[in-house]
Parts: sequence; structure tokens; C-alpha cells
Amino acid sequence: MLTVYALQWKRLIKKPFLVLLFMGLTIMMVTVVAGSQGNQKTTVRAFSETLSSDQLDTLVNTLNEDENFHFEQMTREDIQEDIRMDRYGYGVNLDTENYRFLVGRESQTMAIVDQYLQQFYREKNTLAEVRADFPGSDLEANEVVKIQTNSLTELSGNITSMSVILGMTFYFSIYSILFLMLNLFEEKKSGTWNRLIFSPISKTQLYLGHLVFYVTIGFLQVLTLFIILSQLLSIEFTGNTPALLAITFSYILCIVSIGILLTALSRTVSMLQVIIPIVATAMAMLGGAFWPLQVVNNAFLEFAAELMPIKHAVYGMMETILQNRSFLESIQPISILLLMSVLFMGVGINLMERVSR
Amino acid sequence: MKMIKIESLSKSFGRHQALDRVSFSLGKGEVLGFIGPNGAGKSTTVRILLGMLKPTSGTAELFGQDAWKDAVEIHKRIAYVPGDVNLWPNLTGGEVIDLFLSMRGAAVDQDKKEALMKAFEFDPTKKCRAYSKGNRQKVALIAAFAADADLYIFDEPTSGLDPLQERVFQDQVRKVKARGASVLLSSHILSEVEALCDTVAIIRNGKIVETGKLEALKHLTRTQIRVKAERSLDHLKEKNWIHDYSKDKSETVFLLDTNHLADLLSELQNCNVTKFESAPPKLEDFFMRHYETDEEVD
Repeated sequence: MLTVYALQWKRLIKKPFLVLLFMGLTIMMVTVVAGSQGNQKTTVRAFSETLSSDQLDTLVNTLNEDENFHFEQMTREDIQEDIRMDRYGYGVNLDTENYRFLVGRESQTMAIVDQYLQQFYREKNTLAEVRADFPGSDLEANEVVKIQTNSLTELSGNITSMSVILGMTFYFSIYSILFLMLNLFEEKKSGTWNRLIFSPISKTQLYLGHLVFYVTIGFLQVLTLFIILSQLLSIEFTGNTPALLAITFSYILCIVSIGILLTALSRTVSMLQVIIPIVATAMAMLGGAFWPLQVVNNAFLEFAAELMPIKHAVYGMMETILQNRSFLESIQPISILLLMSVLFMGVGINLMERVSR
Repeated sequence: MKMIKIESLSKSFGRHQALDRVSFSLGKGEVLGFIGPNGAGKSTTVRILLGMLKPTSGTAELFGQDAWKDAVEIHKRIAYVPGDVNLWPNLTGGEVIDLFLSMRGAAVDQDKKEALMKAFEFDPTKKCRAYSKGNRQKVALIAAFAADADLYIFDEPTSGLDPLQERVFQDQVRKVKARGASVLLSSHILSEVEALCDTVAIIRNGKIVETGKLEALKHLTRTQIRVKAERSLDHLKEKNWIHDYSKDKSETVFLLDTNHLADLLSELQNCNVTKFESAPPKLEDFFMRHYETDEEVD
């Protein structure tokens, strides 16, 4: 078995581009997708016709205290020109007690900015009124009820990034594993598989040597990507490590089993090359690797998602991390994935052996 | 104990009967030539011996073990070279040879390997995808001969080799034979079989049509005789052990049943023979004769 295993490594080291390419693609996709969905400030261009530049300065600084918004001082003419050129949709005219939008076209961020400014001015005006009634007293706004949602406020921005990392990594790992498994198919076609059968190696060892290799490669790829991506987006995968590793392992095993099944079902290499992207993308779409499954509202699609290994892997990992689950509590996704592996592998190897006999 | 023992082995693929009650055996230290036309069932027999195919009926045993059930155990003691060698395109020849040898589990005899590479004039540094058919065959042959197997199975091993390398192959076969190993040589090249084999088994349409010691088989065949004599030889025409009697200029040419050589010599005694040429029986003639008679029967 070790000889077969070592042989696969030797072949990979001589031709590592495929695996490296998919790893590179994963990193690129995750940074692009997670980067665009992460904590981005909304930029708002502001001007004033009534306030002095000092007053506007103070006002803008106070507005910029919220980390979600960035107010930028500009002149009315510049903003008008930019809106005319459609560089952005709107600007804000700030006053002491009021604000007005200068709108060229509707924009989705306008509602959020409007809400923020409304709240800001209401508080500012109330304070000003109270101050007028009780001159000389030191006043500040106080929240009547303070809700601390610590864990989720810290994670909220990260949940999206985390699901993107998990989804994309698992999605691309399907590609690299299945494309590596083309080797298995080529070996069967070119006759080198038979060469191995003529040697004093049993079929079990032969299959094990190949399978262990694919699982190792997949596992190493996923782990490396998790480490690189969590550093890159500064997200920590804190959870029950054995549970997380077990989910990853059973997912990879499941993909390898699917690979065996597909290899057994296809007749030519080109057929397999066509099937792989279709299967990988369909599984990822149905399994919620690209968008949260909560937005899916169709009973059939919800059922289909349950059949996708990637769903159990991504959501198993997310729940283990977010809900701080123990290994025993995470056993459900692990056992579902292992069950799928046994099923696909059993059918796949059976078909393959029937064909070769 | 027989190295190979095949008894009434049959294999059918659907309706097609590929092998029909094939039986032959190979003793220790023997070289068996397994010959027959294309599609006769040579490769099917070899594949059954290697445990790749399960026989429909009959038994195939190697070293007294069942070829199908004990394939892994058997493979430890045999070396196989197919006619068309498939290798991993991105590994070098040397790496593949090491791989084949390491799969046997025994330590690799580096000196022996080097000597074989030299004998076959083989460059192990090139990638396998760059090798010609002959070079790919050399990879398999070197790996086979470098392993100390008890039984060598060759399935048309020299179809891509040049005559010089073919001779190296024959030398190596003689060496392993001297060591006491047995060889099953399935081949088209009858001169090669003739040069190496003690026994032959001829297969045709899935049936063994002839099997036995090469010497004994040759006895069954005819020798071509070319005689020039001062007296007429026409009385020979009447003998039932003389065939295809004809005259070529001043010479007489005929075929003689090889076991009647003594009779011929006594007949020629008083004929003042000035020239006597005898072409030894060739396996090829025997094979062709078998072929023709079989076709007539068909």
C-alpha cells in the first residue's frame, strides 16, 4: 500500500500545478467575495450652505464617530458635478438642526444613511432643547436600556466571511480532488492499473493506497487554506478542534467516494472532465456554499440541500464554531458524511470492479 | 511440483468460447513456448494465469496454488512482461524499474539492475512518455530479470526489440533457466521459441492442438532434402515417407518424414550421390503444416 501511496506522491510532485492552481483560485475567490461582503464603510459626501467650515468640521467629525460611515467634506459645486457625471448617486446638505439629500439617482445605501442621520439629528436636537430649558447643566444622552450582544457583535461581520471561506474552500477542494482522480481513470485506461494488479499487491491495498493519497491531499489543501485565509481575513476558527477536523476529514472522504463513483460511471476521460464541474457546482449551489440556505424557500430545494455533503460540512463547521459545540454534539454532520462516503464508495468500487471483470 | 498446471481450462465471454478445455503444464527449470495465431487464446490464458480473469471452468494452478484465489501470493514469485508495456508518462524509466522492484517487497539488487541496463543499452533517465515501444519493453524486461522470480511469464516480449537486443533477451532467459527458474514464453517469433524452448504448446481457436517436447514434435515433421545424383532417383517417388517430389534443374527436391532418414540413406547408397543437402525441420514448417491441415479440416 505504501508503495502505491508513495507512487502517487511522486507523480504529484512532478506535476503539482493543478493542486496549486485550485489553491490559488480559492484564496483569490475568498478574498474577493469575503472582502466585498466584509466591514466596508459607507462613504457620504457632505456640504453645507449655512454652516461655517469650522462648524461643518465639528459636525462631520461627530458623524464619523460611527464606524460604519465615512462623511467627506466637499463643496456643493463639486458634488453636483460628480452627481451629474454619475460618479455616485447622492450628497447631503448638512444644517444645524436639519439635513437634506441632494439626489441624482436612488441608491441602496441612501436609506441607511437617512436612518443614521435621522437618529443623529433627533438626539442632537433633543439635547439642544433640553439644554435651552436647563442652561448651565451638563447633559449627555444616555441609553435607557443597554443590550450587550457581545459574542454576536464581534462575530457578525465575520459570520459572512467565515461561511464564504468554508463554502469556497470546500467547493474548490471538490475540484482539486476530482481532477486529481482523473489520474485513477487514466491509469485504468492506459493499463498501468493492471501493471499494479500484476504486482504482489492486493486490490484492497491498491485501492487504499490511492484513496489514502486523495484524502491526504484534500485534507492538507483544506487545512492550508483555512490557515492562510483565517490569517488573511483575521478570522479565528475557535471551536472544538477534534470536531472541526473530524468534519473536514469526513467531508474529504465523502468527496473521494463521489470521485470513485463518477470514475466508475464515466466511460471516457473527457466525459469525466465534463461531469466534474457540473457535479461540483451543482453540489455547491444546492448545498449553500454560495449563499445562505436560509434564503431558500422551496421545500424541494431544502430537501436537496440535505443530500449535499457540502451542506453538512459548511453548516456543521459553522454551528460547531458559533455555538461552541462539543464533539458529541457535532456527531450528526460527521455521521451523515461518513454514511454518504460508505454508500458512494461501496457502489463506486462495485461498479468499477464489475466493469474491469 | 509443476510450476504451471492447467487442466481442462475453459473461458467464455458471453457466447464466445475463448478457451476450450485447455491443458498443459510447465515443470521446474523448463522453458515452454506458447504459440498460436492471433486471437487463438494465448493472452486469455496468460490473463487467467495472472489472476486477471476468472476461468469459466477447469483449473489453473501456479506453484500448486489457485491462480484466481491466491493471486497476490503467486505474484510475489512471478515476473510478467506484456507485449504492450504501459508506464506512467511522467516518471523516468529508472524510477519505474525501482517501483516495480520495490513492489515485490524484497531489497533491490542494484548491481544486477545496473548490469541489465547496460546489457540492454537502456537509458533510465528519460521520462517514460519519451520512450519508444522497444524502450518501454526494456523497462519491463529489466524489472523482470532483476527480480529473482521462480516463474517468468512473457507475452510477446520482444515484438519491439531490435535483433541485437533480442539476443540479449535470449541470453537472459538462458541465465534464469540455468538458475532453475521456469519460463512461459508466448510468442509469434518461432525462431525465438525454437532457440529457447524445451516444450511447446500450440493453441488454435481456443484449443491446444499440440503439446510436447520440441524434439519429439520435430520428429513428426518433415525435412527438406535436395539431392544431386548420377543415377535416377525416381524410384523414391513411390515411397510413402517421401512427399512433394520434384525436379529442380539437375537436382531432386523432396520432403522426408524425419523418422525415415535411415531408410533414405540406404536407398541412396548405390545412386552415386554428388550433392546432399538437408534443411533441418523448422518449428515454422511444423506450425504451418498444422495450420494448413487445420484449415483444411475447418
